[in-house]
Amino acid sequence: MTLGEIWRRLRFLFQRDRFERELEEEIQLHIQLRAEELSEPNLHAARRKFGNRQLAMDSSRDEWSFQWLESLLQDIAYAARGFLRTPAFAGMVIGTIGVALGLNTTLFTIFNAYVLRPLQVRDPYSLYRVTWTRKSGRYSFNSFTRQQVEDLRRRNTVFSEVFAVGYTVARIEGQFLLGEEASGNYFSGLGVEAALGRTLVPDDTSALVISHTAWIEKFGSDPSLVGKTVSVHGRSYEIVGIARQGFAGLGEVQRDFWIPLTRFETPLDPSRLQVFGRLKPGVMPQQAKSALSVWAQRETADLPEKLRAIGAILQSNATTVRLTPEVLVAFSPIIAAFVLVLLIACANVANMMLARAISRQREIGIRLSLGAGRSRLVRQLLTESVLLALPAAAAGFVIAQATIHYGQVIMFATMPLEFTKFIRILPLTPDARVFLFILAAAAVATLAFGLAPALQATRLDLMYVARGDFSAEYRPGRLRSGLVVSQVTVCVVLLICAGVLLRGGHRVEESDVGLDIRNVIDVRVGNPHQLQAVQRLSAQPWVESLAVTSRTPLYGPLRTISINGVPGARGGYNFVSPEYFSIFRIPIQRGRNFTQEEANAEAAVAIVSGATARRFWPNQDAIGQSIRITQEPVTEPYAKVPKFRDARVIGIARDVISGFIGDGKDDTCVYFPTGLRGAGNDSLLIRVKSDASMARRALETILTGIAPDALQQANPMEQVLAVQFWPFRVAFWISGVLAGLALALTVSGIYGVMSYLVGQRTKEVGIRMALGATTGAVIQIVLSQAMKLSLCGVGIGVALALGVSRIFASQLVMINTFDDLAYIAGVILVMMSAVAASYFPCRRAARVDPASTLRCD
Amino acid sequence: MLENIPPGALDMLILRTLARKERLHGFEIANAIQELSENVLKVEEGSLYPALQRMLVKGWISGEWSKTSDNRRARYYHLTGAGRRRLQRELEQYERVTRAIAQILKPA
Repeated sequence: MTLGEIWRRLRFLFQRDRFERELEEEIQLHIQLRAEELSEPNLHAARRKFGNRQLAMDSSRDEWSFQWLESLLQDIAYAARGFLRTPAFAGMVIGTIGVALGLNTTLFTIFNAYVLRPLQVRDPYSLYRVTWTRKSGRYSFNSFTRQQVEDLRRRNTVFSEVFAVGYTVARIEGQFLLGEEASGNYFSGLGVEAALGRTLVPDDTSALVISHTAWIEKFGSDPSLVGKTVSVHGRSYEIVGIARQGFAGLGEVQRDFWIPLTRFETPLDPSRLQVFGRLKPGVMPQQAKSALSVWAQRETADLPEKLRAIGAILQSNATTVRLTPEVLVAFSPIIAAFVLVLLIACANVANMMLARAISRQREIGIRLSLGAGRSRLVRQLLTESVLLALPAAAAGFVIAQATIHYGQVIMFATMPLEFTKFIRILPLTPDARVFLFILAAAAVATLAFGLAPALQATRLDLMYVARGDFSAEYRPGRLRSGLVVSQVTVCVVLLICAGVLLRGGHRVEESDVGLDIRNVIDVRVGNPHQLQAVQRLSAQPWVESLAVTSRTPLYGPLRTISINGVPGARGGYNFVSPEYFSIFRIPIQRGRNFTQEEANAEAAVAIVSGATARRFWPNQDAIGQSIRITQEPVTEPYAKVPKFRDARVIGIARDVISGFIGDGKDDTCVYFPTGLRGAGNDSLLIRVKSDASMARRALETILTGIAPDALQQANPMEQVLAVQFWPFRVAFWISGVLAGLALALTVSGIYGVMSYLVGQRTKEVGIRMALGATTGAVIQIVLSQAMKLSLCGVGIGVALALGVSRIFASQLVMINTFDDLAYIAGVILVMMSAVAASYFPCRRAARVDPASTLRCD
Repeated sequence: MLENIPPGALDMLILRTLARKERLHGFEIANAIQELSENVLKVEEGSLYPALQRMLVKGWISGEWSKTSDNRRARYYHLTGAGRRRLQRELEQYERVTRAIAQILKPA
């Protein structure tokens, strides 16, 4: 059919009346002319000569119509009638596929928001993030100094525009917000306008812009926010506007406010900027990369060799997360789990469709013998699948929206309260890509669950059909068994995953960190206010004791330095005041604590952990030994490093976990002294006498009394620890829900297949019973069939799980991926479910009455 | 007794008729075919119209309304470029077939 032809047919479709009228008129004229032409005008004879007028009209109409369209409409009407007769069947199919599609759409919506949806800025595809690699191979995207940004802006030839941002946090109007210091060209260059007021312009020095999301969520869309003066890091800023909806910075974490990037260095942000560039039209990324490599090498030529740049890195910043192989690999287990659930849902439905097609064999056989083409019948069966898939897609969409909504609610509800303020989620609104995804997934699912049964069911031999025998030769056994085996396989894999995660998470939660964190609060105070805060807080009756540290434990690995000049012998270190040990109840096992004098002077003494002592001075007494610290260039500008080269070990403290729980007790931890007045310390730790939440409120009042922005954060240490558990809980719940769903689908799948098999073998069972088989023997036949399929699936599933474990064992050190108990539990659960699913079919088989089955034929 | 025309041949006859004349309406086409075939072949007059519609769909002919000599409204058909090419192909094919048949039937 050519395009022109389709066009003409379509036109006909919409001008049917006119077509009929014209043809009528034409035929009328024909008959009239014929009548006049006959020797004696005779309308009757002319009509006879013309033939069947209605037939001519009908055949003409047929010429125009879309044959397939009409047969399609027939199929749809036929299928719809069939489904209305068996609403439970249709409901089951739509429900099963709908849930599976819904889960997958949820996942895709998240993936889409982060990885596929371009940032809502002007020409996002020309935006690139820039940094350089060092000799050590390490690189960081926030590594630019202000001078370097200036230099790059002036000297580069590949970017039309260079944007720089520095990350910062602040409390504004009582709300904890994540913000950016942004270069002057940021808003204009990105094409981001204001929803209210204005955005930042190059000359601004004390203007502040709030993001649209933060304005709505944190400030209740209060228009009077614009114009207010607020204090950020001790400087006052005027809120000049609200940025337009959909823009929240260029990085992964959504930003709530922007202030101008000025020459002032704020204490929180000592020159660590991220740089984004807009490639000039026509410049290839590869070209830009080599040009920038030259620039970076020249820029870092004066630095010690270790810090010199060896090459530039240029990453597209068109989407929030760049789609790289690494991202795909990281996502793949999650994607796989979700897709597997969809797959077994399809397998289940395929089984149901197959069973239905078989029960319709008589109908299909008759239609085949009446001359219906096989392709026509397959098309009809596929139409039925599509008719089920469309409502399933709609249901899936609704389920996805609900899952996303409640998922976020649950996420924030279960997360340690103090940390919800750090979490920003991209808006997960469905867009064209999401709709396309659900349609494509529904189409694939339709093919998966509709095509095989359709092909199978229409593969009838007309010979048998003619004999009226519709069942003898037809045994789609292998397909059905294959579907059940694959379901069991997936189910086993997902259950084992859930088990491994559950037990791993438990182990993590129960591990002893060695720190008594109850009633300890980690308080972050703006640097200028630190001293005053210490004085005021230590005077409070509810404060039991107070310590300072340069690095609060349980926020991740300690900073490291090289110790004793051994290459590669890096050890974790921390600066703590003497009270640190009593606050966390860390016993000093040997030697002594720092004195106040040592603390205030930051003297060259150290307390080491037991493991450190064993590592560096095996079979020796560590006390009195000297630690040699190799001075090295500062890689982390704001990290507090020892000013001395040698420190004498004066005490040994019990081992604790200061970093991630999964990494276990610190293999090296060296404590250096610092005092309450020491500079460069990150946080104040206070142990309170009473209830921590009451203390937290009192804390807030006192610190805000010092300065409105003095208190940056106050996190109860129990919540800091809970944050580390949280990902395990989430992973467990997601895999648990998936596994539960898979189990339910598998049970119903096994049940369906076993019922069908029992139905098919009724005659055989009857004969066996007539020949004296006991009920037990009959049950055994059915059960052994179910067990055979399940064992097959379990075997493959365990093998797969072991394979997957091997891959992830190296990445998930904190979890034993070969946890035998999880494996055994998963297998037992599946096997028991299989037995339970076969129970009813078995009972039916056992109740077969031999007399009546034998009479049947 | 006049014989009925096989449907494929009817298409060809209509195309051929329209190729000779500039434009004709349905009744004229029916008459022309009868003359052309010297009354051997006879179109069952009603079957002409589905054939015309089929060719309209295919885009071989197109039709427009106009007045006859005695001022009656009639739909006149004429050949399109596609129709002309189609006729050419049909004729060539027909020639090949008849030549082949003649070859077979030729007395030795």
